[in-house]
Amino acid sequence: MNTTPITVSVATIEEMHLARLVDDFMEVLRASEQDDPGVARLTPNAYPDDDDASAAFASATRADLLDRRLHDARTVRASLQMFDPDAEVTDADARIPRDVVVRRDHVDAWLRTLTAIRLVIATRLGITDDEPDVGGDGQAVYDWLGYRLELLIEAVDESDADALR
Amino acid sequence: MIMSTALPEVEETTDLFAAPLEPWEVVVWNDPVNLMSYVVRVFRTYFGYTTEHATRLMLAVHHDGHAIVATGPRETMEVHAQAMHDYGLWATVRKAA
Repeated sequence: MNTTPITVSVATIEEMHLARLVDDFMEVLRASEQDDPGVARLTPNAYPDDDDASAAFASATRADLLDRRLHDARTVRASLQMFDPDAEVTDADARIPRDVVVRRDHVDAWLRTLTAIRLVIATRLGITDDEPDVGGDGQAVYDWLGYRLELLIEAVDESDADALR
Repeated sequence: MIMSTALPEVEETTDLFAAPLEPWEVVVWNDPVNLMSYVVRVFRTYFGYTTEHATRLMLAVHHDGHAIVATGPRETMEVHAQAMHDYGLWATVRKAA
């Protein structure tokens, strides 16, 4: 089994943003309000044409599904630094890169968490297109997360391929 | 030569093929958020599909709007659907046509 950890170089400012996004995401999960469309997107209707089966599936899976998202998010958060939310960061400090090490057995938690956060953001922004054009900070964050996720997938896929050689 | 191996008693009623299980299927639907590379990776690592097969399924989801990614007993398909939901994919379960 491939146990090589994945190392991701991120700027301090990126790590701070990511930590904040994960914290916010955990808040959304803890609240897990029934009518939150973001949470609904994380717990899709498995039987859109059968209300009874849909309700049975949801009651059997929804809470566990959201618990697992929280567990994944905690795993990701634990690999990131603690940041003082009130700390002033100079531009120079913000650009300092740091290697974040993703343990092999944490890779899925990372991929699922980054994906889940993007899904929630997309729901909030009303993104319905492959190449969204909603603009603003929201889309900047969404695009950046997509870019980071793509890089992580590339690194993991490459590492998988190396292990088979 | 003496056969000392006892044959197991087979009950006449245990006919696994008497009532074939109705097949169900897991359908994954297109969404604008999930990355192509991600969907391929999920199909490859979760179902153990080859990269080629996983890519074909991903492209079917992308171009046709959906693809059947697994077929089998209903309970198993529900487990797969939950796993797809874990990965943020939009999956549904239905009786195979």
